[in-house]
Amino acid sequence: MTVPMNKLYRPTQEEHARQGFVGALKKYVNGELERDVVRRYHDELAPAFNAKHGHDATNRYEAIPVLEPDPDFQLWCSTVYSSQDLLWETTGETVDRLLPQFDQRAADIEANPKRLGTLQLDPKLELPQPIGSTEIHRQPGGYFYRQSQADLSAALLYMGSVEIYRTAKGFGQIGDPCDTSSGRSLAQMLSGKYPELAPQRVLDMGCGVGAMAMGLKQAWPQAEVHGLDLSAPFVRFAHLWANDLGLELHMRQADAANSGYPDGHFDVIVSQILFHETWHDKLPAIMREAHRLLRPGGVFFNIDTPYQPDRIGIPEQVLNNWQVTNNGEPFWVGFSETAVQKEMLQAGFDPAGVFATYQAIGGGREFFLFGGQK
Amino acid sequence: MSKFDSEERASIVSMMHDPKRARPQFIRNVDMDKVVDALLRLSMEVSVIRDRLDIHEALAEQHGIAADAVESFVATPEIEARRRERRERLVRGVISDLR
Ligand SMILES: C[S@@+](CC[C@H](N)C(=O)[O-])C[C@H]1O[C@@H](n2cnc3c(N)ncnc32)[C@H](O)[C@@H]1O
Repeated sequence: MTVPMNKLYRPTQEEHARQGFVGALKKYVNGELERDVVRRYHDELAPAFNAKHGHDATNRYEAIPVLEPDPDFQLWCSTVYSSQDLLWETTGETVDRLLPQFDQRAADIEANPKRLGTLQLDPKLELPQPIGSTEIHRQPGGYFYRQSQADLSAALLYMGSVEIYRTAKGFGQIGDPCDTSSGRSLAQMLSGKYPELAPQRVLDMGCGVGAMAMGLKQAWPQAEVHGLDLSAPFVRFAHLWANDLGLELHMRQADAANSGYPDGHFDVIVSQILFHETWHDKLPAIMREAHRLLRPGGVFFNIDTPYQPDRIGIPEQVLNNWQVTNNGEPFWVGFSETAVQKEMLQAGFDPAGVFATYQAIGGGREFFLFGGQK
Repeated sequence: MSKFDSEERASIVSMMHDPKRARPQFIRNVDMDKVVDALLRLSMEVSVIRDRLDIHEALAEQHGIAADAVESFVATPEIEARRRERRERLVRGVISDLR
C-alpha cells in the first residue's frame, strides 16, 4: 500500500523535537505571557494612565503608547516574533526535505485515470490584491507561492504549521497531520441547527488544504462536496489528499467573490477562518456571491475569529493590533470591525435567519459564528 | 513526472534568511545580563540532554539496538505528554530569566 499523501509529512525525530519546542514556546507566549501583559496593563499601567490624565484609556490608540515602553510588552513582541520565525524555519526544514517525495506522489496520483473527484485550476486567475501579495502569518512566500506549476510547498508549509499548534495542544500525533474532524463536527452542528437540512451540494469557501471539506464529505457521503480557494497549491493538495482518503471532492481555484458556479447551485455554503484572512473590502462581494450560489432556503454558515473590539479588552486590542502590523495578520482588524449581520442583510439573506454569535467549538476555544438562510 | 527540479529550487529555510526579512527590534533596553542568564540556562539544559542521550546511546549499543531504531520509534501518548510538559517548563524558565 502506498503511503497516504498527508502521512508522507513525517518530520524526523529531531525535526519533531524542534517543532515540539516551538509549539511549547508559542503556547507560552500566546498564553501565559500574554495574560501577564494584560494583567500588568490593568494592575499598573492603566491606573498610572488614569492618575496622569484623569480618565481611563478608552481605545487602543490611547493604550498603544502606554504599553509600548513596557518591558513585558516588548518581550512579548520579541518572543512572539521569534517564535513565528522558528515556526517557519523548523517547518520549512521538513518541507524542504520531503518535497521531492510529495512531488513524486502527486505525479503518481495525477497519472491515475481513475482518480476521484475533480480539480479545476485557473492559470489565468489574477490574484486580487493586496491578498495575492500578502504573506499571511509571515509564511515565507505566502499561500500562493510556487517555484513551478507543480510546487506544493505552500500547502505543506500551511499544513505543517497547523500541525505544530495541534501538537502543542496535545491533539496531534506524529505522522498524522491534517485532521478532518472539524468538518464532521460542523456537519453535526448544522444538522442540529437546521434539522430539515439534507444537503445535496455543499461548498467550502476558502477551503485551504481541504481538511474541513473532507470531514463534511465523511459526514454527508451522499452529498456532492466542493471546495474553493484562491491558492492553486492548496486546492491541488486537497484534491490529491482526498484521493488518498477515497473521497470524491470537487476542488476549484477561484476567488470566492467570483466563483463561476451557476445560480442556486448549493444547499449549504460554509467557511472557516476565511473572512479574517481576506481583504475586508471583498467581504460584501463574497456575501453577495454566497447568496447568489444558494438555492432558496439554503444555509450560509461561517466560523471565524472572535476578536471584535467590543468583545475584548483594551490591552488585548493593542496586542491584536501588533499582530496586524508585525505578524502577518493585515486583514484582521478590517474584519473584526465589520458588521457582518448588516452585510448579510445587504447581500439579500432572509432577516429572519441572519445570526452572529459566539460559541465554543469542540469543547475548545470560542469562535465567532455567523450566517443566514436565503 | 513534474517539471520540479530540486537542484534549482530555493529552499524555504534559505528564504527565511533573506535579508529582506530582517527582524525588527522590539526591545528597547536590552539587558544583557538577562540575556546571559537565559542563554546559560539554555546551554545547561542542552548539556544535560546531551549527557543523558549519551547514556542511552551507550545502553542501546550494549543491548544491540541499531541507530536507525531511533528514527522509527513511535512515542506513546504518555511519552508525548511528558515531553510537552518538559518543553513547557524549559520555555517558562528561559522567559522568566528574560523578564
Ligand atoms: C486561514 S486559511 C483557512 C483554510 C481552511 N478553511 C482551514 O480552516 O484550514 C484562509 C484561506 O482563505 C483563502 N482565501 C482568502 N481570500 C480568498 C478569496 N477571496 N477567495 C477564495 N479564497 C480565499 C486563502 O487562500 C486561504 O487558503
